[in-house]
Amino acid sequence: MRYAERNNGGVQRALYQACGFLLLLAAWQIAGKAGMGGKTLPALSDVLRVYTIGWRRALLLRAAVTTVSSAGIGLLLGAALGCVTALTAQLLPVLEPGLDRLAVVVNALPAIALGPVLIITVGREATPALLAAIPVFFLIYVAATSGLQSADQRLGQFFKASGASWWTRFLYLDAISALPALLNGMKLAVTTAMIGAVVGEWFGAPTGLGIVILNTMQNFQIPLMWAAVLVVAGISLTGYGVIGLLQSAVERRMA
Amino acid sequence: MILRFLKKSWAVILLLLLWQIGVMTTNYNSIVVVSPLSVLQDLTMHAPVYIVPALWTTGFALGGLLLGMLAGLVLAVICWTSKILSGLLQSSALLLTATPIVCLIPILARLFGYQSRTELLTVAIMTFFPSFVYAGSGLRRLPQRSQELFAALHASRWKRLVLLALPAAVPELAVALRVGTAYSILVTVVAEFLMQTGGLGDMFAVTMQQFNLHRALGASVIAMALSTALYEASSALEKRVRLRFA
Repeated sequence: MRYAERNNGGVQRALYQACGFLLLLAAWQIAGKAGMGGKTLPALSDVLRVYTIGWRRALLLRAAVTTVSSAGIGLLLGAALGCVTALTAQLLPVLEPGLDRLAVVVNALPAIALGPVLIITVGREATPALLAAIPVFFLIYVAATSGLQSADQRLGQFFKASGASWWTRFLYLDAISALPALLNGMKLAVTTAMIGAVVGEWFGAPTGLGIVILNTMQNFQIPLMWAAVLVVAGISLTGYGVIGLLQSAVERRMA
Repeated sequence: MILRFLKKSWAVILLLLLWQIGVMTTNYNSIVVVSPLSVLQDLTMHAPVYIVPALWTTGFALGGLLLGMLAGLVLAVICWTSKILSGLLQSSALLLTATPIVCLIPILARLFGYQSRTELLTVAIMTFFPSFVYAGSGLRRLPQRSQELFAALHASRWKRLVLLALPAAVPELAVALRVGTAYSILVTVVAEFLMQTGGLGDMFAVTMQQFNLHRALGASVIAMALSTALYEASSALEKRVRLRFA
């Protein structure tokens, strides 16, 4: 009975959310057609028409592949660095306050300051990935640190009493306990990596969605600019959704 | 005191040392890469130059943060009053989370003009979402049995909001503030850089065009210090709030 009620509640909520989404799209279409935002806010149908034009679709696809590659590399690099640093902090607690501050300071570095320096030192192609990796590192470090500390103390004592090695405890207790927090961090990191990659491209990358957004803004190709922004949002939303599903599955498994 | 400072800052000092050694051992021109010592020298010798841009950026970052937090809280309260509104607004909010707001700065600049108000709006949009999400979850995370007690006392919806839900949301709002402050200065600086409306981002853009890298990196160091200080202040506030509301 209670299960059926909960299920009905879930369906109702999903229905409201779908209605909300459709209302948002309708509001955009009406605002665009009525010219409420001047020429800067075209109607949704005008933006969607961009995707039907062959060469524009090809341009957006090429740019999206580049940006997703940079964001993906940044995501992996930042996540690996964040996990290794969090693990170091757990292994050597004396280093933790320093590593905490390092993570905050590195995250506080403005992308606009790093961009020009990275363009010269590592090149135009690698800059977007590195600018994506920095905020991902911070998010994953914070998520992994709190996740590793969330392991059940009683289970930890049980592992200790059983004479388990550090590695066994890490593999079967700490790492598993950290998974939900880590996936929560990854969910936010997907959007952050896309922002890093797009901003990194603004500093002179040869191609990418960031370049398309900037060029179309300067050339006043507004529907194409919106189409590029929608692609960025769509990729982020897909990544957010996929990791969200993975997170739900992990949370169900661990419940 | 010194030991505590070293314990907290050893990694940052190490990073600065590596940067200094890197600059000394490579032969990059000073218009390409400068050493941290020369940036520090510019910061101490010409400190007054940085004051107005720093105050400008801090003002807009905090103003935008306040606007975003208030808007998020108000919308979360509206959602709290109605399941239908909650469902309708959640999808828009989710869309906003997944949209890289920084990428919207060029569009916002076109819509609202290359003016300071757009800077304020960008920060407000960026900080709105954490406030909406955390306030929403805080308003629903009520102490056990409290709802039954308020129902038994026939408390009105307004009384439930003011005396039960809003106080329950305060710890979550403190988390939203911490998350928002982490990004407020950085987003303000990027907006200033793109729109050249004043502040540290504008200072960075102008000095970079003049190949004055010491001053440009000095502006970035100030932005970084402001961002770190605001983050640490909001973290300390969050800890105090958690202790008070535990």
